[in-house]
Amino acid sequence: MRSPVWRTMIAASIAALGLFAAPLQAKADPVADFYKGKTVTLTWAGQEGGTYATFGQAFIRHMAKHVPGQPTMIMRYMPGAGGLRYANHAAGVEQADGTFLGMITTDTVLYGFMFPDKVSFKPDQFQWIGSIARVQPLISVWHTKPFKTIEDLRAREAVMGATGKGSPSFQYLAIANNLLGTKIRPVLGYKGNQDMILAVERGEIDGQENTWDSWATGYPHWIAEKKLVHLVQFGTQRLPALPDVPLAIELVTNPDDKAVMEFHSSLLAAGRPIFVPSGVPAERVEALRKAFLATLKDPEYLAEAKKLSIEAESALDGAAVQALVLKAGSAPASVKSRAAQVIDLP
Amino acid sequence: MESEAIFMLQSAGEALALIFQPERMMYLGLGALLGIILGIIPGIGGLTGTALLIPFTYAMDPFTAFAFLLGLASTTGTGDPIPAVLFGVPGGAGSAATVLDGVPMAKRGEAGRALSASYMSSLMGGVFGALLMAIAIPVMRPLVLLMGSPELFALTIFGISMVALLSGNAPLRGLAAGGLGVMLSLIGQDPQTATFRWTFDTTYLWDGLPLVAVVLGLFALPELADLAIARTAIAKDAPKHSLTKGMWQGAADCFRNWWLVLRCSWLGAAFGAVPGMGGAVIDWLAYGHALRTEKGAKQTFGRGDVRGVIASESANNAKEGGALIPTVAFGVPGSAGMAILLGAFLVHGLVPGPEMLTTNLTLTYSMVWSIAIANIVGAGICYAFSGQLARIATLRYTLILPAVMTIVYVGAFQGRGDWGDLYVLMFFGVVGWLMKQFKWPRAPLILGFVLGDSIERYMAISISRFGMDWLTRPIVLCILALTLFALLRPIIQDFRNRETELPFWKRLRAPLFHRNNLFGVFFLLFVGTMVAFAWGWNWEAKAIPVIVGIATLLAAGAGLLADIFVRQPAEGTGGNGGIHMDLDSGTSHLGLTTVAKRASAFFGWLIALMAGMATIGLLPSVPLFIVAFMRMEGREPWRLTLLYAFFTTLFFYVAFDYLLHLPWPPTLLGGLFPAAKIIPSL
Repeated sequence: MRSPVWRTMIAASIAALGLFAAPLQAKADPVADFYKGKTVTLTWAGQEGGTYATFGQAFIRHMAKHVPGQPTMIMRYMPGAGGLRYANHAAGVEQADGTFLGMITTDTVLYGFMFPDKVSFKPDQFQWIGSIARVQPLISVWHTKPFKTIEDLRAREAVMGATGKGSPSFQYLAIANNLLGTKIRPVLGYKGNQDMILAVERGEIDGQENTWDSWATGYPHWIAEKKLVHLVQFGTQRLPALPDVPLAIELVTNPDDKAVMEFHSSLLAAGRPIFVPSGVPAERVEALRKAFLATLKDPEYLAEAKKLSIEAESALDGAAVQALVLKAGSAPASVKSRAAQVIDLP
Repeated sequence: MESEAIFMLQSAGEALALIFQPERMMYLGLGALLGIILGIIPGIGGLTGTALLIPFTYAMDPFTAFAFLLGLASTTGTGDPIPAVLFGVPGGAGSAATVLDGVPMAKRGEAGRALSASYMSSLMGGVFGALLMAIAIPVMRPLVLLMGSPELFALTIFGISMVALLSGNAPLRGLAAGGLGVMLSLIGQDPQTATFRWTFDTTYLWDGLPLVAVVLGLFALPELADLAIARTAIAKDAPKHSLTKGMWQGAADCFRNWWLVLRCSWLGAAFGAVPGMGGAVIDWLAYGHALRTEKGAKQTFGRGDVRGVIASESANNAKEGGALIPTVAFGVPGSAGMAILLGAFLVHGLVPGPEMLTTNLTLTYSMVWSIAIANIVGAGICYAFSGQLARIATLRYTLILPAVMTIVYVGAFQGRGDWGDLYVLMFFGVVGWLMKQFKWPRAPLILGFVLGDSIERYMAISISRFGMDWLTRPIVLCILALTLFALLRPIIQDFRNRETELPFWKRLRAPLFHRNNLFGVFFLLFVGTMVAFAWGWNWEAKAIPVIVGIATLLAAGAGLLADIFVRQPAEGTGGNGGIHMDLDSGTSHLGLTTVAKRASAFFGWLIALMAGMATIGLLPSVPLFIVAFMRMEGREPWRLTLLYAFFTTLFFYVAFDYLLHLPWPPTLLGGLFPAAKIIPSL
């Protein structure tokens, strides 16, 4: 039996809810309204596969829950010209409404500072949302080769692979030769990182540059079996996993060289950065930055990050990335031009 | 040893049982279906498709996930030949060789037989390739480790030696085309010196020309142009072949030529397993192999010999099985699709490497079986749903061209998602059409293009690492000896059979000019300009381009002189390779003025399509283009035209915007009225 009292009470509560809801709706978040039902893309300036694509994909899968309005988030790829093509596209063509996020390497950011005439984007005008993790490049050799410390690299020639002269795989070798006095002989022309690693395994080359997380995700068995000897790491802090491997910056004493090494190392702490183009309304940038931070605390994301060997604890918030980028951009012109020289680009 | 064999067999059996569980089979079948659909659409292949599926596999167990992903990756090759046979539009770069014999068969009215032969050879190739890999797993790691850069260099030389074979009776033009292909492959930033070679200050050309746009330009557009010029159906006045009979016949062809299928699939699997060779060359290697070894092939290949289709398609499907091995054993992707698979490994917490061949052997075997089963399922789907496709070849051209032309454009746009792709497509469309008209073989060009960059890279690494010692490595010597044998044998055979033909100095004549010589002159000018540009680069950057360029000029120049001063022997009477090794344009009966007029009209339509894309975006241009083309070219009824335009546009929207999220190029209207960007692709 339903008594009329119940009916009245239900009706009253519905009305009350309506009364409460009405002002809530009036105050409804315009950012949530904007993102509701939309598709937000994260474009990675490189190929499918690989650590950037995989980490980015994992991140947005969880970030979508934390963006107001819960948009669908998908991954898009625009490789070309070592990442410059997408950076140019993001600055010139991409719609600046907050539905297009981008991810580029810090090498692309530095390239923009070193060669402003060759690009049509200004890295300091991008609005940075955060960095998923740091990137720590290492120069490493196969365990059977006669190189155990950086001193050995300075004492005799090591043959190391690289894809091409314009690529990071070559640039870190060049930085080491120019600023650390190593005698690395680069062999150029490998098609990709994986082809190089295979050449290391079969003894064709002594070693190569590669990032720590790339070794950790793809070759954990080599790390466990100590198949690799890491000789030097690039970045601002030694990795917890490699406390005895010197940082490049520690090995430079000359103040001019140190400034150049700092320029090349400074952004690595924000190694996998996400941005939106300039022109995206401030409240949406703010919301995206908040969502970024919320994702970093999301236990589901953290579990997945662990599985993928993402160093989630090294992530940086948007303001921190922005500060690092601005600092790198404000380096004196002499440092920038020397920085361009030591990576040996024409 | 014995216990190892037992462990292998156990893992293989367990894996088979795991794959045959209904849920996994369902995903595998779904993957295979998607693979075929993506394979049919030119330009979109395993790469895009697999990337699209990865997010869906998060929640699956690894066996199911890889069954799903490999189901797609291994069947795109089964869908590829469908447009290749029907329209001469290769569905992927790996099906370019199928065009050479598939199209003439369709023109003869044997599209059903050609399609059936390609489904069946895809099936057999895929299964044989996977089986070879299943047996070879224990020895794969040491074998791959033996293949250093010098060995890869020797293999690329072996590959490029096929140019001689694929040039048919025009060896000099073939060499010149191959040389141009090598030069074009070197466009972009040079790895050795970071010199920008022929990039003309564009970032687009930094990474070279995109393969998809080049292949579609060279092979697809000329075929479509000739269809527009002939203004007929593809199979015009062909005798009515029974479709069912054709289907049976095509399958029977594969069984009759089982030895060829087996050889080509092992070749495909073996080359697929060599990291760094690239899949686009494998169909040509198999085609060349068949051309060299099959009885009477030199007289019939390129004119609709079913064995040409079988060779290229069986190798094309076998290569995924091969490509899987370096991916799981070393983490070195053997093909573009496999690169994405590496990403999936990470997602599922797997590490490619020795473990995959020991503790995770069952999973590895499940992947091999997935590939084999997907090929069977894929061919089954093709037989069930696309057998009727052969009828398309009897449709009139105004019904075929609008959809196919627009799809080719969007397909080429998959190369980089950039305007440059469309220019590249257009440029190679014109070049390819002219080559076809003037009987320059196109296969050597694509072979040079696919291998050129690798040749330079591996040569640089070999010499910079080993000096001249690379030449003393036993495997290198074997491959080079094999190459030499393959090159010399036909020459010696020719020499023996050469009684009927006079040497060229006895055939000299007073100079006779023909308008066809103009293309030779244009070619010389083009390559000459490229060499002139290269002259200013520093030595390391220009060595290969200039050497190849000069050789190309010599070959093209000698070819031009021979055309002018030497009487040609009649076709098929011996000579070098016997026949013209490419398709005949089939429009010579129309006369020069008609051909020129209709060709300009065709390329004019393409320019109009591009102009539309630039102003109002690709998607809005599609219906306008279709309506304009069908009404103006063919006076098709309004009702049909509008329905056709609607459904094609809907398909484009769903496939390319909604599912693939293509980054569309900026448009004029979008720039002027940013608010209008709500319309997709504007």
